[in-house]
Amino acid sequence: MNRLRCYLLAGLLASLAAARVASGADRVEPQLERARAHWAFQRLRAVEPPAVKTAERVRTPIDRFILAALEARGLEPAPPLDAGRMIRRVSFDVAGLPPDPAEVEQFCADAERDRTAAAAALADRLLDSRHYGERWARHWLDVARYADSDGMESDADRSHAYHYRDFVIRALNDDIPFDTFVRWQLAGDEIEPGNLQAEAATGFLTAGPNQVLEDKFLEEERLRNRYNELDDMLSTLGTGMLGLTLGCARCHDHKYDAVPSREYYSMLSALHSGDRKQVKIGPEGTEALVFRDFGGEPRTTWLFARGNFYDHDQPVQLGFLDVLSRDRTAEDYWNDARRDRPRRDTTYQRAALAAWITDVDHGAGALAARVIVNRVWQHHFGEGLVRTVSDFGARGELPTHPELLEWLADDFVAHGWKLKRLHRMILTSAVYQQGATWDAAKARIDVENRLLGCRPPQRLEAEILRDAMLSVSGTLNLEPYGPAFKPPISAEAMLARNTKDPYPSDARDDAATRRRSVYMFHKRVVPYPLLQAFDRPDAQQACGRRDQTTVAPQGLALLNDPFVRARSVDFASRLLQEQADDEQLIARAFQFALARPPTTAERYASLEFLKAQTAKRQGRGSCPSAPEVRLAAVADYCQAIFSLNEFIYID
Amino acid sequence: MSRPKQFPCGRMERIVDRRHFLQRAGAGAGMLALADLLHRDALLGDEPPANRPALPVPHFPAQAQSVIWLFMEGAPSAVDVFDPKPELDKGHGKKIAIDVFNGSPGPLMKSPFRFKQYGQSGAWVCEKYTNVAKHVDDIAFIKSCYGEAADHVPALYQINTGLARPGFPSAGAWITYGLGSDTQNLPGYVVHGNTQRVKGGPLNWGAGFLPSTHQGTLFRSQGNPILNLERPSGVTRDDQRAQLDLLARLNDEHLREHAGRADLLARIRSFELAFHMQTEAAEVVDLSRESPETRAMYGIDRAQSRSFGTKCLMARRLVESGVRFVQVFSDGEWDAHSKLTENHSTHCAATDVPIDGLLTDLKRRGLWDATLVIWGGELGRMPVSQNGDGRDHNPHAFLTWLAGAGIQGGVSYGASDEIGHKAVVNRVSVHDLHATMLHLLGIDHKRLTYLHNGRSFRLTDVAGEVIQDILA
Repeated sequence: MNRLRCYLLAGLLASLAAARVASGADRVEPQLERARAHWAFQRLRAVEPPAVKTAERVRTPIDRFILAALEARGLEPAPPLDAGRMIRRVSFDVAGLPPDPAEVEQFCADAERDRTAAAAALADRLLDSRHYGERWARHWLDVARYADSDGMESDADRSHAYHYRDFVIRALNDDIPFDTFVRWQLAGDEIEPGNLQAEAATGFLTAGPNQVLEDKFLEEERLRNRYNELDDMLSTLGTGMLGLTLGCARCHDHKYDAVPSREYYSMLSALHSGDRKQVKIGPEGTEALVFRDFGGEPRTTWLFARGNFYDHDQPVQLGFLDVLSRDRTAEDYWNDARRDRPRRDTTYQRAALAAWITDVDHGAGALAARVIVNRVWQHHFGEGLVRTVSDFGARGELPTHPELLEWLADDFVAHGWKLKRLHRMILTSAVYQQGATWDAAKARIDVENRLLGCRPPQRLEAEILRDAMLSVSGTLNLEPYGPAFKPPISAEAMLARNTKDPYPSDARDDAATRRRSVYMFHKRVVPYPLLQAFDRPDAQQACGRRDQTTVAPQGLALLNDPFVRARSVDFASRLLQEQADDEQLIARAFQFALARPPTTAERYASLEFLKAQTAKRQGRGSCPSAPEVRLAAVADYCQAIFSLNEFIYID
Repeated sequence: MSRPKQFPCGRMERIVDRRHFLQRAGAGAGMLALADLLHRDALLGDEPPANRPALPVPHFPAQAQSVIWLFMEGAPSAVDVFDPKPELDKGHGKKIAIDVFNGSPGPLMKSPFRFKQYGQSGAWVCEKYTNVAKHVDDIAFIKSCYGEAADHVPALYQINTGLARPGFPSAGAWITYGLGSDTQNLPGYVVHGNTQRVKGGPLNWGAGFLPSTHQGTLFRSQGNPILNLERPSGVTRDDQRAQLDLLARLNDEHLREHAGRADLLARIRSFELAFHMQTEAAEVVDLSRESPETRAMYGIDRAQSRSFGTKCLMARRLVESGVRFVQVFSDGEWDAHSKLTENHSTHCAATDVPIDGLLTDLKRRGLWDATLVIWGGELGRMPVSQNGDGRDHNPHAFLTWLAGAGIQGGVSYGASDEIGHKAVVNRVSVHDLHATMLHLLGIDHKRLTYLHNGRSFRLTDVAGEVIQDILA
């Protein structure tokens, strides 16, 4: 029934399948050994950073790996980015907001004295700010296909789903170890019952789309729906946490599916004894949408041959992927999980899965570490060291810098799975602080910039583009956490009908809806047009890497979207309140929007524009007052600033 | 004929071309979309035709250049419109053992409508569709379609994307991905939604994992067809021209510093494209230049068919303008859980004249041989009653018809059982329908692939057979 989702878990599991079929036991077969030989499935190993010729360029150990590879090809890194652009890059990258002019001035002064110290202090300040969690949570929420409604026909609101979103933000800000972060998302209720954050974390499992079918509906339809949901959960944790497309093994029509199917259903049995549920969690009994087991007795999971969910011939036991396991069975993990845990209302199978997935010695932990380190790298540089960020299987790409990835993953685990430490090491590295300037000679040798001989400009993501317009216009409401806000969506932009909780037609553009985009209500079938135009994912499946399209509807949005025009007017008001004089106004606009003063040519072009627009608007029949004309002309100018490449692409 | 040379696999060549281009350009992400944009841009007219980048070549000569899919949302009943079942008349009121989606099945229910045979082919059509009936000799009826899901949204997703789950690329997205389009200032894939808004939303015309450039663009039939086509109040075309001119000057230095990054150049061009689209898209939906006779032909002069007729006329204009794929959703839903007579009478009345008008117009304008027209819904309906006078969903049998380019008219293909419950003869899956659609456009459905998460995906998954018997 679901052959399209049968992505192969690579040829690996294929050969593994053959091995297991042949042996029918736990004996190790040559094919299994070969499958295990795949680079991503190895235990972590300590790597020595290589020696480089230009040691004076090294800022963190990362630089040795990058420089060694560049030197081997006779290439030089790009010169460091100037301080003004640097603070803009780091601010957007870490906090998702532009720096304000005072911060820019301060940083430039600090960098003048000691660039290395200034860069380190900047990284620390931003990582300590609450905005770090708000910015980086969005990356993980893409992976978790998080949204605030059911999707499908009803698309009912999930008014209590946001506790999961808040958990992600807080967890990042608190820098809880990433292995704990993973374990809580699978089994926080089993591992730390009563802990609000741990319990809210299982919202990861329940965040996917879901069709609520009443009992009166056809049993077949309800079963299909149920197994689609379980598949969504398993597939999401597979691609999200392990970089493996597990959905494959649900396949029923593939010559290799015998064993992968068994392993798929063995892993599924960890989730099969529970479902999404709205319950009270934490000490204060906060209402939240989370995952809960039905009770203490595991439900029997069957291997559905040919995907037939009426097939109850072959019961399967809790199990994990053999190819990633060494010397410990699922039974061992499960026994550990149950030991000293007396509750009878849950099966502790998820706790066992959570332990296995983060166990670097005997389970999938090494792979999980490589995958997250690579995701972090991708968001700092635009591309991962492994460019197929959600596919570390045999069909995925090889790392551009295998030794660096290994070193980072090993260092990450050795120092307690701390993301902020990893960010800091990247942010203070020379490779990160390189300029973004195009170099034709270098491009001839390294067309895809795989050696990282520069750090290319990054297009702002949809949410950050919106946040930046709010911030620059001085109207951003920084209220954190809590229920999501619903911004106005014009009637003409509502493309779909849902049968439950229709999107409000009276939402207003006011302070309550000028919060950061991470707090925006994401209604699955009523996408917010501005974000959709700029490639926000649709939250149907895990998304590890967003599209970056350049299409005319984005131009239309920046020219005509009511939000964009309103922020342009706000920005104009802000400038006009401060400055009477055009020259100063232009200088200030550049500082707010681009963190630098205008060049002579830019100033001249801007002055001309303002003069011409004012004259043109004055000449129109409707005779508006002089301040109105000026506001409109400056708003025209501000809107053009929002459309600049330099505003949208961060060096 | 040296086939491989003359008709190489378009997809492959396209990818190679794009890679080559992108390597030279050395750009970052979103590159296919970017290539598309630049490619379209190149078609804007500066260059003589000989220098235009080659469009992706079809796998073999195409019958159809474009598709108009008349989508009957809510699941019309085959046995009440095109496929009368005498056994239902005989068994009317008899209880049978049957599973239905909403439970509590009623007894067998005969059609409330009278049927007549039409044309040389003698096709049966109900009394509510007498204008569509004029075209039966140009239509191939497929009476044995079946799907997987029994409810609207998964069924809608399946008929549009091949899979009964959200998030996969729609047929229209696959087709524009494969063929591009012949228009620069309009999207290649246009969707006319309906008054109640389509269930399941934009995922029905989504691009899934394909570059999002290929997603369908929703056109509205009143006011501005595309979102954000209307300027903010107080802003004129002149103001925007000035903004774009300023933008060009201010971008200049940045562009020089980042020479070689094609996405920055493409971004600038996308604004120009958007600027022109504001005029062109408004023109294409401006029906004021159509004659009263044409408007009447599409039923626009009558309240009952005005909305659907307007969308059908726009569909013709879009196809004329080079749009590759147009999907027209009917208004309201054919979802007759009760009062089937009233429901289907209304929906037939809303679509009968417009469909007649569209088919007639395509023929007289010489577009018939280049346009594939499809009629159908996402599900069928049960032979037994529900709530006394309605019918529940039926995924086991439904009817789709095709007409126009490459289609053999006057054909009836496949059959459901004697009461119309299940497709039994020459069963046609959604994949078969999609394979046939692609075939008519010159695409081998097995060779239109996209690598995603380590697997080559197709619109037709690992299945799909072209329905040869309905091809001209």
